[in-house]
Amino acid sequence: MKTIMGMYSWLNIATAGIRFGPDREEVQRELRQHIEDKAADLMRIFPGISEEEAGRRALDGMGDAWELKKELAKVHTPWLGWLWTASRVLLWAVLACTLLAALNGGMSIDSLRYRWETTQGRRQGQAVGRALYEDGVPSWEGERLAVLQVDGEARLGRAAVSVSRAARWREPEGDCLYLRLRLTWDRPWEANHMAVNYLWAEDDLGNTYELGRARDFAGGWNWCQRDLAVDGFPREARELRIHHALRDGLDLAVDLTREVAP
Amino acid sequence: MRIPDFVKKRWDRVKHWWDRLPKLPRKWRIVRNLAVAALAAALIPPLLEWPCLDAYRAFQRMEGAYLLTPSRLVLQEKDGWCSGYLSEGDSWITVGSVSEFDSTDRPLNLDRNYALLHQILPKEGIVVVLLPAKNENNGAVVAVWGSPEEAAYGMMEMDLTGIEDRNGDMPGREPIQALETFTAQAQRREDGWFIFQFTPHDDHRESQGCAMEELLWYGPVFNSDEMEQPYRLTLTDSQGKVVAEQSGITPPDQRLLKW
Repeated sequence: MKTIMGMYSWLNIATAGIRFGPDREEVQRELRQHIEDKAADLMRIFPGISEEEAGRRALDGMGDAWELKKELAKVHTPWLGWLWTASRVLLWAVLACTLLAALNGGMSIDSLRYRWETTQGRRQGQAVGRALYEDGVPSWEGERLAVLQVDGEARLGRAAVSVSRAARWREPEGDCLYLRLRLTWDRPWEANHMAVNYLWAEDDLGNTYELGRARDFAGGWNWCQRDLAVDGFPREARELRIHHALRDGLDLAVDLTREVAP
Repeated sequence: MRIPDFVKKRWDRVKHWWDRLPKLPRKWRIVRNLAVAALAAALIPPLLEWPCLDAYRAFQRMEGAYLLTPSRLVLQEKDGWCSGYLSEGDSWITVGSVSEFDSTDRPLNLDRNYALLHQILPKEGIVVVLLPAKNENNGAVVAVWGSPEEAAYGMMEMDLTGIEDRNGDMPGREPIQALETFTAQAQRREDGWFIFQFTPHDDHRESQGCAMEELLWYGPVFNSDEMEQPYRLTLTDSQGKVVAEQSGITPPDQRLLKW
């Protein structure tokens, strides 16, 4: 018992200079293990020796606890340990906040249902896209006359306006042009489907068009996209220019001369 | 409570797997923790749907959402829980408001700035707009753009009609007048704008409210139709000669939201 008390006392003195608690406990554990191993070795080498005596000798062999305290204090600076603890606290706090934020809006049951429905809607939208510009079968009455290779991008405000696909169609109401128009904002918090409503178009024949009707729409974290119908668009028109109703800065020219498929 | 064996086994397996992972040195653990914390923190704003903590920034966001940047703030008025903003760009004028209330039903909502654009107008002719927030005298603020170069002074008469009387049902209270006319004068600002600051009438009986005080009492979100009011505008040069006159109705509320 006396040896055990002596060992703990020695350990406490030797590690008192380590200011970071978890490190102090770790070093204490290692030193204790070392003393116990040494005592076990002594008992194995000298079978006649008592456990208490082996423990005392092992402890004596460890040297002066006060000297070791100074050495250990030099080696174990606390800053890294404290920084590590702070980083762990920060990490858990941030993870808790993230979870709270996710449960608050992004991952509520209603929200997840909405996302599921949106995903389903996107599948339908992809089918519409295939029907409009590829070889898909349309779910509406109409005939695809030509698929056009188009590309164009212009900037307005803090957003880019781009056109990536187009096709000429004949529908019961008349000829029309479908355009895949996308608005991409630099700042995701400004993404807004309604901004498309302020765009209008004119062709090279001088006709002007409202861009109100859309066959499909989609959106992402900083963009929104519509497959807009330009109703009454004549086959002779070779170019379409897209403008903003209130601003002069937008003049997105879309070349409609490159037919890639009938 | 006893933990089921299969849970214990699973937990032991996970712990065993975790213990077998190579342990990073402490320095790298700090780096890892900070990196993961930064990544998780970056997820919070989108999960909270980009909360905006400042009213003017909320208005600027709405401008950006409608592609109306860059713009210049012409005027802002704070009226209780609502702030009104007037800005202009090269070819357009924007009138907006930001009201302080929780527009969601979520337990945690940091964003209490509900922004609306009331008008986006082209800079064509003389443009007259009623701000969606009143001044410190509880009077309307009307801004005029597009006056002739020589216009130095302006006078505006505004007829307030169709104003909701919030105290109309109180016993002994007389209803507000169906039509009340107010007058304000303004001087041309350096930027070309005329800002007419109206004040309520002070000659009403105690039992009767003034239409100007009642105008937009519940804010532009709820009193949207009150933004259309008839006016008569007279602009004169520095000699007092009339250089422009215009009468009409202030533009209707377009109530543009972000969607």
